[in-house]
Amino acid sequence: MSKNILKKILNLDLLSVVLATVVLAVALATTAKGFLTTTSTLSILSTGAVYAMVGIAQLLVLAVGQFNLALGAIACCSAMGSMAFMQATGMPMVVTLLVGLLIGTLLGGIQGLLAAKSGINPFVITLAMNSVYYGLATAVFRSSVFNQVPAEFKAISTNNVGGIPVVFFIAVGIAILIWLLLQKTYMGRRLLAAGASLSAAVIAGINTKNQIWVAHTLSGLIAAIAGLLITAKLGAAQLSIGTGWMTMSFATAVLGGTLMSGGKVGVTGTIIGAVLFSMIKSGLTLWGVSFYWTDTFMGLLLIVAFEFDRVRKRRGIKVG
Amino acid sequence: MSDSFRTKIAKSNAISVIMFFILFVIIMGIFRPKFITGENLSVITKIFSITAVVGLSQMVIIGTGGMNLAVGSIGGVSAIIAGKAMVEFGFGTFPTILVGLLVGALCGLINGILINRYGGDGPASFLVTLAMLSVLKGITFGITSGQPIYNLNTSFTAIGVKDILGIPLLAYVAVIIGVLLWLMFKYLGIGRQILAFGSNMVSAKLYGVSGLKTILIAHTISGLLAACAGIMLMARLGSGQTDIGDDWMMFSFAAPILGGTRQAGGRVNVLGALVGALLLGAIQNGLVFLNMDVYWVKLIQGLIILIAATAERVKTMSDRKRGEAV
Repeated sequence: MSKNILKKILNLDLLSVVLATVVLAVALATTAKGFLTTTSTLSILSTGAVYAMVGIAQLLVLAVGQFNLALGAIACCSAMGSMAFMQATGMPMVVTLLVGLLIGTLLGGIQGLLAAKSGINPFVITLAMNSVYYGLATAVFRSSVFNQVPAEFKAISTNNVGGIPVVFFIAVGIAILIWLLLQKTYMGRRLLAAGASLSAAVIAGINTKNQIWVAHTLSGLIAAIAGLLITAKLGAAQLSIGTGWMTMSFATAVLGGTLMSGGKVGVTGTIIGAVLFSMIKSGLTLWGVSFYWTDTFMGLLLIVAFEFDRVRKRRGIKVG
Repeated sequence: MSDSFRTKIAKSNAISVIMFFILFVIIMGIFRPKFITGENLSVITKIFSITAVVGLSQMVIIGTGGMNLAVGSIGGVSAIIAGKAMVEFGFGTFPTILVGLLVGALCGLINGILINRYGGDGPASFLVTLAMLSVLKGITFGITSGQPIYNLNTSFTAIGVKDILGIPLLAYVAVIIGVLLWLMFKYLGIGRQILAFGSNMVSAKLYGVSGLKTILIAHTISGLLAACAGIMLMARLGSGQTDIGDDWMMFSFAAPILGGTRQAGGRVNVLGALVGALLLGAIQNGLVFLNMDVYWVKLIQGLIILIAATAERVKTMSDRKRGEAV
């Protein structure tokens, strides 16, 4: 009997995010001109794919109970670094992408090392690294815009299967991999354990410092992916990449079921949350809300996400 | 640890920062003589004044064991609303300042209520102020549609320019605020409660410290100070710019941490925060003199805070080794 109730609650949780998305979709479809067009859906889903990656990048760090304030900067450096590399050496796309991923992993790794070993407040570290990494990108690349993005790469945002852009499938695929990593592998479970209770993890013999380092490194990798995906969508790599991702990264992760205190993540929910977020952004424009008020909405959404989190904590829910 | 000893350590932090400051000024003066002209020193002092109040605003919250990511946007929205009051509703200089401070206090109050609702601890303060940062920034944009506010009363803008006895009026404001805060933390009950709360929230609550009251008051004060800094900056700029506060986050942490405020909460250093702001102001001004590319500035700012945090950490460790209560 109690197992049934538990199942109900579990479903309810993800259901609430799905419900919100559906309700919003219906509202938009009926009141906003241009919502149901293919262009609009493609745009929303391709942006949603990027947001999903950003949310997962944050989710990985939240899993160990920390925050990654530098993921926008890491994404920017990775995107610009890889494009600059391509324009300088003319290497094929695959190599360029690998370079981008490498940059992200490296930057995440450095940050993770500092966060794990230096003893400095990890918040201060990621705050500082955000400035350092953005500063690095600005200093190295000046105000260049790298817009020689190959057409095949840009196409992942527009080529679609049944109205869903390729990039969305890529994002979902990566999300599945991350989910498998966290839930099914030894490494992933150790990460979550370190976040759930630092002291219990230590007693269990888990090297929590390692977990923190791993979390930040992975986060950097996923942030790099996000940076590359948005480059594909924009058709260019520029310094503005990643700015404004902070609020959204927490909103999608938390709306999706990740507990702010660590130990529990909601990968599926994050993807849905990302799409929801993207829809809201689109909706605001379609409804004619002045672009100046977007930030306010995002902030309010984040607070709504906290309410979700608070309710979840009270219930002690586990989300997949 | 006896009180006088604690004061000595607090002073030693401030002293090392002052030494750095003097060193920096001397070195800069040698390479760029224009740096030490009275005119430029006045500029540095003005930068210091605003950075100091921003730093003090953050310091109060660091003391509670949390952080206020919204200092910049509180400052911005308060300044903008005050500016609107003056230009569109004809408020005089004094009422305008009052309006601005009230807005800031209100924002702080809201922060406090939400933070308390979500647990009152560090992560809660981070998240709530992160959200408020966006909300307030959006409001600033929405109210102004991105347009700066011009035509402020001359009696208001004079505050940003006037000197008393050769020292900018803004500097007096900053120092007076510093003194008031110092008195609060040293002699008022609420000051001790804030520090107790920051030291160890659980035991503070067990001792009867009201979590709600502490967080509310701390954040209201922080909001008030952030608004003050915003108004000061608007007076100095002579117009209500929509980007007031955008670059405050880094400095808001750097100044107190450089000055010895403990990152984890529970201990603040007002004098340190003030001299920290002085050093940061000098560095900010100095970078311009070195014709440093704008591009390097952000990188350097990030490095500064890393160094500040590391230095504070090293100091805490060595204090611990020497057997001092940390």
